[in-house]
Amino acid sequence: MTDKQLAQCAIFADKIFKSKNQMRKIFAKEPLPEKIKDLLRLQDMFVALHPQYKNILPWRI
Amino acid sequence: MKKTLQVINNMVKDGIISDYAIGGSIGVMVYTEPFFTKDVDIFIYPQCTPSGIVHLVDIYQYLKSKNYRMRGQYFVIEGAVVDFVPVYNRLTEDALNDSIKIDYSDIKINVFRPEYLIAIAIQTGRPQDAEKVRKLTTLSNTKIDNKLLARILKKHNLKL
Repeated sequence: MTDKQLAQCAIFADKIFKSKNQMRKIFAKEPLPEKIKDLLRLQDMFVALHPQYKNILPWRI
Repeated sequence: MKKTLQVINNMVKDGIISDYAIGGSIGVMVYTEPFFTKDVDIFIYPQCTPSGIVHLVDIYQYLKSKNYRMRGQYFVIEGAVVDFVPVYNRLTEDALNDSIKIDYSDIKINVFRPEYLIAIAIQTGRPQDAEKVRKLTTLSNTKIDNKLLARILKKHNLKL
C-alpha cells in the first residue's frame, strides 16, 4: 500500500479505536444473560483453538 | 464462532476481501490463556478507488446482502461482534502479509504471528496492550521467535 493509503487507514483506524472505547461502555450495560452468552462463546472458541482441553476439563457449564 | 469465521473465509472466496488475519485480543488468545473480549478484530487490506480513496463499501454491501446487521461500527456475524480493521501502518501491513494459517475446528483461519501481536501491542501502548505483551512473552503456548521479534521491533523502531 502507498503511504497516502496508509495515512487514510490510520485516520479510519483511529476512529475505530475511539469507537471501541465507547462501545465498551454500551456493552458493559448489557443484561447478564448476554454477558453469559459472550462467555460461553469465548469458551467454545477457546476449546476450538485448543482441542486438547476438550475432554480433559469440565469445559461446558 | 466457527460460522462467523466461515463467513470471513467466504468473503475471501467470493473476492470481497483479498486476505485477512485475526489480530487483537482474539489473536492473542490463540497463543495464551483466555481473557474476556467482546469483538473479533479482522485485519484486512482496504479497497481503493481509482483516485486513491480507501473504503470498505464492498464489505458492508456484501454483509448487508447476507442480512447481517450492524451494531455501531461492528457487524454481528453469526452471533459474533466483528470489527473490520484496515491495516493502518507498515507494522500491521507486515503482520497481515506474514500471517499464518491455523486450524479452528475443521476449518483454516488466518491469524497474526505472536511476534507481530507483541509489536502491535507495544506500538498501541494502552494498559491492556501491556498486559497482552506480558501474556505473550511469558504465558504463550507457542515459542516466540526472538530473532523475528527483534527484527520486527528494530524495523518499526519499537522496544520491548
